[in-house]
Amino acid sequence: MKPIQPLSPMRSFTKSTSAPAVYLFFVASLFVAFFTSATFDLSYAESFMNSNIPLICLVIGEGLVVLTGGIDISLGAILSMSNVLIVTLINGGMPVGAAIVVMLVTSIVAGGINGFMVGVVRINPLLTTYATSIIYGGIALVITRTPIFLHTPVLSDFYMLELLEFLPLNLIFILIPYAIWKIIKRTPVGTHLYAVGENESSAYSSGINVIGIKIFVYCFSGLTAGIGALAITSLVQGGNPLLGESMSLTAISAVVIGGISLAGGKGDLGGGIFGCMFLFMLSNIIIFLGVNTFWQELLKTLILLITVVLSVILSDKQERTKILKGIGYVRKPIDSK
Amino acid sequence: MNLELKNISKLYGGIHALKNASLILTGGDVRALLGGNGSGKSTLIKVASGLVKPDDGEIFLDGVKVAIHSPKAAKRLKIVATSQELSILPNLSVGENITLCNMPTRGLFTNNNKMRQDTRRVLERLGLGDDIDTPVGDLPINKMYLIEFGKAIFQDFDILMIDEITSALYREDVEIVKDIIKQYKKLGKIILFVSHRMSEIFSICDTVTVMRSGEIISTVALSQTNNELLLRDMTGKSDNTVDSNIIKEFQQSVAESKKRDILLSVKDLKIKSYNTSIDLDVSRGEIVGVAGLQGHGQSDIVKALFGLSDPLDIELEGKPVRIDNPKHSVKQGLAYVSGDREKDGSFKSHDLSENIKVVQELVLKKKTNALEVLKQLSVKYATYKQKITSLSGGNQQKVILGRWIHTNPLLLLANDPSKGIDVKARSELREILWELADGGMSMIFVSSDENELVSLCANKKNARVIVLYEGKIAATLKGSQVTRDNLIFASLGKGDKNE
Repeated sequence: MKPIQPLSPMRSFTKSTSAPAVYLFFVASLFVAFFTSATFDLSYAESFMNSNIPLICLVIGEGLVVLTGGIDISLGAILSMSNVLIVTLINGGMPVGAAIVVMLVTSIVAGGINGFMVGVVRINPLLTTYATSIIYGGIALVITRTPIFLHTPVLSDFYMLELLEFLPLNLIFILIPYAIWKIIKRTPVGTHLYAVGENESSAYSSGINVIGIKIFVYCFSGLTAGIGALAITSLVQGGNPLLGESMSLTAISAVVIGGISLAGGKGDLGGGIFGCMFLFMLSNIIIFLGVNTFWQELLKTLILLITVVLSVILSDKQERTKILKGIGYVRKPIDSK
Repeated sequence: MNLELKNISKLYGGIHALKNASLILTGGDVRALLGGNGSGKSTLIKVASGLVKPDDGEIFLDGVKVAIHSPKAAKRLKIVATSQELSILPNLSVGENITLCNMPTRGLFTNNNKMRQDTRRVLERLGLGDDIDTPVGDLPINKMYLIEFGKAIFQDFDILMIDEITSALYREDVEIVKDIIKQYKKLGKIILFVSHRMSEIFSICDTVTVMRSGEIISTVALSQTNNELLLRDMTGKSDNTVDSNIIKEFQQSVAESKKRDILLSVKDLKIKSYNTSIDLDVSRGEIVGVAGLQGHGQSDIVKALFGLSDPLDIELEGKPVRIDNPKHSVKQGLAYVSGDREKDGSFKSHDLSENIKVVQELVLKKKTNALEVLKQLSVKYATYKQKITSLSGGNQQKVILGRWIHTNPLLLLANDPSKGIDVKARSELREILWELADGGMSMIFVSSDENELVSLCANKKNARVIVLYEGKIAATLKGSQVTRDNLIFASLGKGDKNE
């Protein structure tokens, strides 16, 4: 058998699972630039990123969980809980740095509880995180029923800082978790993550510490929810126990559009980030097009459904045949030898 | 170096997979493990490699008692096993698969260069060329099994257990595996080798241990035994006369069956795992038993005919029919009873009558009288309103059989239906099947239990048994030829002209 030539960077991109999300994002961006009333310039890009960063944080965490064959619908609730927690702590007089550490540790512990339930007690991840999402959301409501204002401007000042007048410092909220992922991916644990996602029992019989991997990914997703909470606290300059309510499911859609297989073991977090940015562009398109408010959500969801199917078809060969077979498009010819 | 398994027992649902099995392996001695379906070979390997926890028993390594509670723990003790079910991951590359358990690192990171070098070294030993970055799923199945073997030998082991990888390998691949085993033998490693090919066992191994129904029967040096003696230990019968005319009689029976009224004729039915195909004719009122070692393609036949895999063209009552999915095949008059009641049979939270009516009323839209069916099959029940799970396994299976025979099928496809059923219920099921066959219903009856096929098909005019070996029909047995010994012999590939 002849050795396989390594693919050129361009070719390996077009073959990657992340490619459809990147295409979708650019098509949507072009649409916004040319067909809507939005002024597509640097300040547009900045405000776009500013409001998008918290969700992208969640997408990175969710992406890793989905990659290992799990799912986490409690991320939004962890974000809400951490958000009101840090505002209450700082308003109560705790130094900002200490409050950040306490909040991040709380998020990691919240994720670790998910990981323990899924990995050790072996409860279905959907069930586990649904239950914990109610608990974490409940804790947020115990801390405060109503939105609260953050009395110190330190966080939002930092959030709006720009390096050399154009590079927003808040990108660091994405860069840190993404860098952690990039590092993990290049260690043996990275390969083990994919192995567990693809086939848990094969991974186990290969001597991989499956429980450890699971606890780790849920801790990581908890951490990203904490980072997301820090970003959103800075962004809105306050706390709201209902802030993260709908974010978990949006994050999951972004992950799927990003080419990460819900069955696990396939995809890369980079795709999820582009999937998330595409979703934001989509909302922008609909708003700028001036669609009637009552139709906005319906239209958005319809487009979302189409893009999810499209991106799965484009990024996953196995799923593609399954879907095409399902709608009767492909019928395997029976060849007689 | 020696490994001792002492009085290992393992129960699966009341059935002994291992019964007080004791085994001593010593370094430098290549041991073969031989036994029929369900004799406990794989379970024994799984116990020693940490995949299965025994209910009872102890393991000693060099005289020291050890606990092996996970594959990881086994690896720490330098015990490595290849798995029949393959532990490789199709999406990962060859290199990642081979080095998965202990990837070379530089500092924190995976050392890709070293990984490739290590992999290349393993691939060279396996004669596999340079496919380090190819996803394993893109390779043909025989190469996957070689990779599974490569993954084992990549590790630094003292004890290597090889569970049936050679059955999927080509002859030249087996030679490679054989040479590698010889090298390790010289190094004084402990090697346990499971295979169904007698010729391989004789050429690779030094000693052989025979297992039957979870028990260790005998351990002898291969130089002091022969095929017949080993077969006798496997079957547990002393008067062993193996029919050597199997091939001739097979041709006769094919000619005979052509004369009769053909109900089903299928050509080129694909057996995926071996990339082979099978032609099969079934006459009206005929019972076709299907025997063979597990995974040699038996259940592929019934699953394909019932539309559970790819679309299939068949000829039914002389008309060409395309089977797309189970709904389609039900309408064509096919029925499917599986031994895996949990998964493919019973609707657990529903009562008896609902379980009987489901196909007839929901798929075929006809009225049914569930009580009649229950009476006809003499199911033991209190009220038809009771949940199906409250019945014993045998009675549950009768209810499911009742569901299907009530639709008056032309052909009943049975996939190991007597699995996990007690002896009495089995014989009752057989009576029912004979009655149905006399009434003109044909059936294809897959079973992993040779005794079951012998009881069902031996000395019956309208029955025959086909034996599959590596995805091909190795033999067809009829009448008095249907004996346990002949079935086992043929399922080891001995009826095959090529062997």
